[in-house]
Formats: sequence, C-alpha cells, structure tokens
Amino acid sequence: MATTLPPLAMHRLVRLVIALMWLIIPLGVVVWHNSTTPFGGALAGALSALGDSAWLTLLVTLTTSALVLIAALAGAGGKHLNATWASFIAVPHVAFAIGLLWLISPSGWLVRVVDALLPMWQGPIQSSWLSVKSTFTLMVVLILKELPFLLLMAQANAQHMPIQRWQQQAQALGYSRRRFWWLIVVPALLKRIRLPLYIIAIYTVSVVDIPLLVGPNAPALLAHEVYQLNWQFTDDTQALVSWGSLFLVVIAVVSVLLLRGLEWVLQRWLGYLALTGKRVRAAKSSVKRMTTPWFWVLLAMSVFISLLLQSGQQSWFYPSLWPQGWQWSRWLTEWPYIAPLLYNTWILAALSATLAWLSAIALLEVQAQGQQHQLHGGWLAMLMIPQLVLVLGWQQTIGPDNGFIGLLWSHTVFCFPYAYLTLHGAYHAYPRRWLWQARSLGYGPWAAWFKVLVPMLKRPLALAWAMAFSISVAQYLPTQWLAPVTHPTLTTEAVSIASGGDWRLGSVYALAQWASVWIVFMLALWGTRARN
Amino acid sequence: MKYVFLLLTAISIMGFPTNSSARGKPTSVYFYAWGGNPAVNDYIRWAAKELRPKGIQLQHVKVADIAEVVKQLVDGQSNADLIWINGENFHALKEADRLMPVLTELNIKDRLNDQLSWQSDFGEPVADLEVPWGVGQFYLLTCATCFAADHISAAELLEYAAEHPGRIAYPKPPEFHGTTFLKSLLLSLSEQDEVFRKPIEAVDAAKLTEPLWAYLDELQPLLWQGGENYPSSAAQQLNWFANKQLDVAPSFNPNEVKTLVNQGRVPAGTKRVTLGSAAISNSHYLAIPESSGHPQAAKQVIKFFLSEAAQRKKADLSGWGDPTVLDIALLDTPAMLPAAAEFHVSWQAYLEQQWQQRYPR
Repeated sequence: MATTLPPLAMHRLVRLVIALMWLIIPLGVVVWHNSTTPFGGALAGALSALGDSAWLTLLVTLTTSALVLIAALAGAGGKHLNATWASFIAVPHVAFAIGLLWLISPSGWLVRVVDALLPMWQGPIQSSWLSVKSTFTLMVVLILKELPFLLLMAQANAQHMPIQRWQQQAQALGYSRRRFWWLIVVPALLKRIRLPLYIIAIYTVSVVDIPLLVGPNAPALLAHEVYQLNWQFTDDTQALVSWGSLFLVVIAVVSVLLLRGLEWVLQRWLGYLALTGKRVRAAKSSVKRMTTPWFWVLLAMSVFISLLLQSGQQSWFYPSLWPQGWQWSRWLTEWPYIAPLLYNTWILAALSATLAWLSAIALLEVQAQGQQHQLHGGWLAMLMIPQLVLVLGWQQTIGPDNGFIGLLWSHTVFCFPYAYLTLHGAYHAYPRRWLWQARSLGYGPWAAWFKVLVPMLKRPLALAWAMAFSISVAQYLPTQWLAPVTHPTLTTEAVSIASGGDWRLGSVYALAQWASVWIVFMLALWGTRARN
Repeated sequence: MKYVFLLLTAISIMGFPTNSSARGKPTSVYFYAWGGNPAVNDYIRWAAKELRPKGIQLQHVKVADIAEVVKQLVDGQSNADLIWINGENFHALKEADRLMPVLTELNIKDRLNDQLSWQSDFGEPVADLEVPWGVGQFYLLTCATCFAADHISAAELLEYAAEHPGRIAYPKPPEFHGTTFLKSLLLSLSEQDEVFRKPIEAVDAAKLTEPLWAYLDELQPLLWQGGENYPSSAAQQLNWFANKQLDVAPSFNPNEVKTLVNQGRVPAGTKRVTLGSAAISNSHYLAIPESSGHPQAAKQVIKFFLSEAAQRKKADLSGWGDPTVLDIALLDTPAMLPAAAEFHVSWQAYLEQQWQQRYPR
C-alpha cells in the first residue's frame, strides 16, 4: 500500500475514513435531522416545564463530577490496573444500583442486621437520605460507578509521569509525601485527565436508566424527563422533547466549561500553596502504595452476592436476613431464552469492539508516525454529546426497525472513542526506537509492527478491546430504538424486565450481562500477563 | 483458556432454538407488549409454543411502555403486527386511523361476557378495531392488619395517613396506576359518577375536581417522603410494599392478591381493599395495526388468545391470573370486585396536567 500512496496522503486518508465513519456521518445525520425539524412551542413554555429538571441536572452533574475528580486525584497513587478494577467496571450500571440498594436502602440488608440486633427497634427506617429514590441516592450510585473509570484513567496517566524523580527532588526540598502529591503531581495530572472527566460529566447529563431506578422524580433529571416525554404522542410534548434535547446539549457544554473553570481554580490554588507552603525538615520516607483497594473489593463482592442470592430466591421479605425460600430452577427454565440473547449480545459486541479497536489502532499509529502525541478531544466528540440526543436523531431519520449494519454502526460509534481513549496513553508512551531498530535489522514495516510492537503492547491492546466490548454490551438506547425486533440483547431484555420490578428474574439477566463483560476482561488480563 | 472458549461455544450452541427444523418457513407475528411481568411473559411463551404447529412464530417484542410503539405507529414507522393496548393509546391510534377492523371478522362477539362492558374502551367505542383480551380492576394491595374493611373511602384513607404518616404513596401520574388512584379518590369524593363518563368539554371539569385538589392538599404532606418523591411505577411501589416501607400498593388485576403471593412477590396475608365503594374497571385489548405485514397470521393469534383453552390458562392463578373476557365459569378464582365505570379518556390528560401543575415541584 505504501508504494501506491505517499505516506502523508495515506495518513490523511486513514484519518478521513475514520472521521467519516465514526464522527462526521453519524453526527451529520443528527444535525441534518434537527435542523430540518421545525421547532414547536415557545422557549418560555419549555423553560417553565423543564427548567427545574435542567437546574437539578446541572447541579447533580457538577457535584458528582467534582467529587469524582477529587477522589480520583487522591487515589491515583494506588496500584495500577488489576482484576478488581476491571471486574468493577464490568458491572452493568443498573445491576450495580440494584445490588447497592439491596445493601443500603431503608429496608436493605444493613438495616435488617440492625433490626435483628435491636429487637426493641421497629424498622424499616423512614429516611429520605438514602431512600430508595432521592437525589442523594442517585449521586452516591453515580459517584461509586464513575470513580473507578476516572481512577483508572488517572493511574494510567500517572504511570507515564516521572513521579519517582520528582519525588526524590521534592523530598530533598523537604516536602511531605502528601504535599508532594497534591502540589506537584496533581497539577500535572489534572490536565491529563481533563477529557475523561468531561466524559463522566456528559454521561451524568444524559444517563437515563439509573435515574429511572433511583433518581428523584418530582422534578426528575432532564434526560429522564425527556426520555419519558418522548413516549407521549401529543404535539406539545414533542415540542418539549425538542427543547429538552437542546437543553441537554446546553447543560453538557456549560458543565464542561464550569469543570474547566474548576480546574483553573484548583491549579491557581495549588500553585499558590506550593509557593507559600511550609515544608517539613525531615520528610518521612515515602509510604508504600496501597496494594489492594479493599473498599472496591468489598463493594463489588456485595453487589455480586446480592445479585446471586436474588437470582435464586423465591421470597425474601423484610426483616429476613436470609431468603425464605429458594428457586434456583429459574436459571434452568430461563436458559433457553437467555442463550439467543447472549449470542446476539456477544456477536454485536465482538464485531463493534473489533471495528472500533482496529480504527483506534490505525488512528494512533498514524498519529504516532506524525509525532502527534497529544490526546485530541475531537475524536471523543461522540461522548461529548448526550447520547439521548444522538440516538433520537438517528431513530427519527432512519426509523426504528433497522438491519444489523445500522445497529453495528451505532454501537461502534460509541465503542471507538473508548477504545481510542483507553489505548492512547500506552500507545504514545511506547518507545518507537524499537520499531526503527527492527527496521534496521531488515524487517518490513508491517513485520516490525507485528513482531515488535504488538507483543510489547499486548496488554493495553487487549484491554482496549475489552473496554470497547463492555461499552457495546451496555448500550441500551441504540439497541432498543434502532433494532428492537431483529436484535434484542441482554441489556434491552434486562431493562424491560426491570420495568416490572421483579429482581429475581432481573438478577439472572444482570448476572449474565456482568459475566459476559467480566469474562472478556479476565481473558484480556490473564491472556497477556507477564511470564517470568 | 482454550477450554473456556470451547465450553462457552458449546453451551451457547446448545441453547439455540433450532428454527430450521420446522416444515416450511413459519410466519412471524411481531407482538408488541409490555415485558415487565415474568408471569405474562411466560404466558406469551406458552402461547408461542402452542402456535408453532400452526405455522406461526409469535415473537414477543418486549417494551417497557407500549406508548413507545403507539408513537411509532402514529409516525408511520413500525413493524408491529399485533399490539396490547387500551385507553389513551387506543384513543390515539383510533384518532390517527392506524388500526385494522377485526372484531366482526373474527366472529367471537357471542362468546364474550357482555357484563364487562368491553364495548367501550375508556368511554371510546371499540368500533370493531380491537378485541378484549382481559379485565382490569383498580384496588389497593395492603397488609393483613392495615385496614379492617374491604373498601375504604377517601376520608378513611386520609385518616389512616394522618395516623401513619409516610406509609401511603401512589405512582407519579401520568403513570396509569397513579392517575387511576386520583380517579378513585374523585369518585369517592363526588356523589355522582355519570358525569365522569362524559368528555371533559361537556362538563365543568374545574368545578367537579375542586374537592379532589382540596383533599390532595391535605393528603400530600402525609405521603411517603412528604410527597417530595413518588414511586415511578406500580412495580416499584409493590417492591416497597413487600418490604414494609409502605402499607399499600396499587393493582389492576383483581386476582393479583393471590398470584403475587403464589409468586413470592408479596408476603402471605396480603389483602385487597377497594378505594371508594367500587373498583374502577376496564378491559385491555388486542389490536392489529393497518401497517401490519402479517395481518392474517395476527388474526390467527387473536383467535387463539380468545379460545377457551387460552383464556383458562391466562386466568390460572399459578401463572398470570388475568380474568377471562369469555362467558365461562372459572372455579377457584377470587370474586370480581364491585365495578365502577371507567372515566372518559379525555379525563386522563386533564387530571395529569392539573396534577402536574399543582404538586411535583
């Protein structure tokens, strides 16, 4: 190929094709649809109907993003990616919320333990803090679910910073380990995790399934409100849906700007502290990094145990600590119906992950050859727009009943940016002199790439594929709105069962979903572990 | 690692339905129906199995809310062959002229139980466009010791709420159980019921609903979380009721007081109590969209669903337990509740809007 096209033209072509496939065409459809659809109703009416939801959404987004950011910065010195993190990221969102509620809700297991220990006390509690449905509960669920992703990104970035060297210098200057971390590492890290942070913020703006389950509804979050309005069929609700989608985009932009402002303030403040701060004479030697994130292990375990027990119980009412009856046969009777869904889910996820992954690799290679090592935000554009707005635009343009290709395309659009983001750090940190040496030993460009780069980067490559796979498995809106008949998946089925609130059957599907992703992550980790 | 892959492949292949074995290609019927109730899903699975020898592949397309499909049908973008609807959804489809006349052609009218007044769907004449499938009656599931009587008036409910603050709730309208809760209160508070069967344009709706809003102003602070949040669905409320966070949960199936106990969804001893002197009753229907690609097969499916065997199976308390629409006697099912006529469909949107303007903020 390189012989027919000069390298620069080849690079441009690769970029163009990737941009067309996963950015320009999907985005163009939505823009075209929205600009050709007449905007009904007045702004004032829409504001009075959706204004409260919009404010609440902005508030929840900023609070959760800021807290997740601080927690991730504090925890980024921990251990690098391991099986715990991967397992945790693999938990389907709704399953996680269900598992967590089972533990902490007012009639949850922890309250039942208290009830059992204090016979005087008459439960369940009537709290509106960790109630089954409140803004606070929603934020707890979102923070716990989003934090591992940002931690992972922060840790991956910290790996590529010369922290050891900085720390020696800082210690020589008398900084304590904690001050060193916050005053020297964090300012550098802040800039690097900017994009993942924005992705979390946008996700919070547009997430629907978690607010439906645990979020407030008087008023509800905006995406939740728009999602429900879209089911109604009068003209004025349709006008509200258009306005709501526009508000979602505005909130997304405002959140990102405010988070950028927060970063600026933090930088200033930390810089000020660094200039004026005290130092200790003899700094303590660096504390060994925490090896196992126990909190997350326990959380993941309790969510898993909750789902497993739920999937096998026949009845389990407050205040019983243990199910009152079992029905494990549910797994057997349900299996013939789960199997085709597993197949649908896996095929779709494997294909879209592979497409996304190959595109990400091609793009990163082209960028590396062009000496562009910066993470370019434009490639993550599809994660910067609320998903509801995108999928709604596609559905209204191409209709609700599409073939496999359209569905595959929609999934890949969302898998690609994650594959790119996950692989970016490791790919650009790769010392490319190895490739030149291989070339000088007589390998062709392809051979050098396959025989030298791939084996050295096999773990990040495998994890990027697993990440893309997990993103596809989790997609609800694109699947349900673009191809509900031809391609039901575990996720669409799980959501429709969840609408009936029977968590015994819901847990069977949630576990099947979780297992699908978990197996892929574990294969990626074990298959690429370093052999001594 | 290889073995894991092999095992997974083997398992997944074993589980696949083998469609290829059927003689000739069966006709697919895409049946769009709410997918939230495992007992209903199991019933539709059973029906699909029974229909396969007749050359029909009944595919249950599970939706979280049937309104999703109604909107697609109105927009002219749907592949649904058969839908499960009533009330507002039927009204919208009838208005948009999206349904195929089927009832007369199927020739089942004589076998239907006319006492159910299925001829009118929320005050809207069925007009040959849909076929009754089952019956709904609105009441509250409640704990064994909460209420002594088997029906309570709006005033008694308020009294109970004052004694037990935070123990009563209703799903947030426009969720239909929530809206029906409001209707029941309105019936109980008004002396009359005839007026509510008329379209709102024909009556003084503002004056008629005044007692309801005055009542709700008193009830609201006594609700779960002081009325600051609501259950999103009847299903959610049912789970909270089952775990003693609430004392009531709404239901639209008069047999559910038995089936839910059988299924282990609510504790034994759960009772049913009617809100007001009678339960608001309606039917739910099957309809075939004009745009259906397989109308003949869809009619076959309706015929099957209305057969005595299928209706008996549907009413079976070990499964779904939905009352039959046929004029047949069923043993062992709880008696139907005294019935109150459903409101005219135009009240639905009116009550929802009025409620929304007053309460959620």
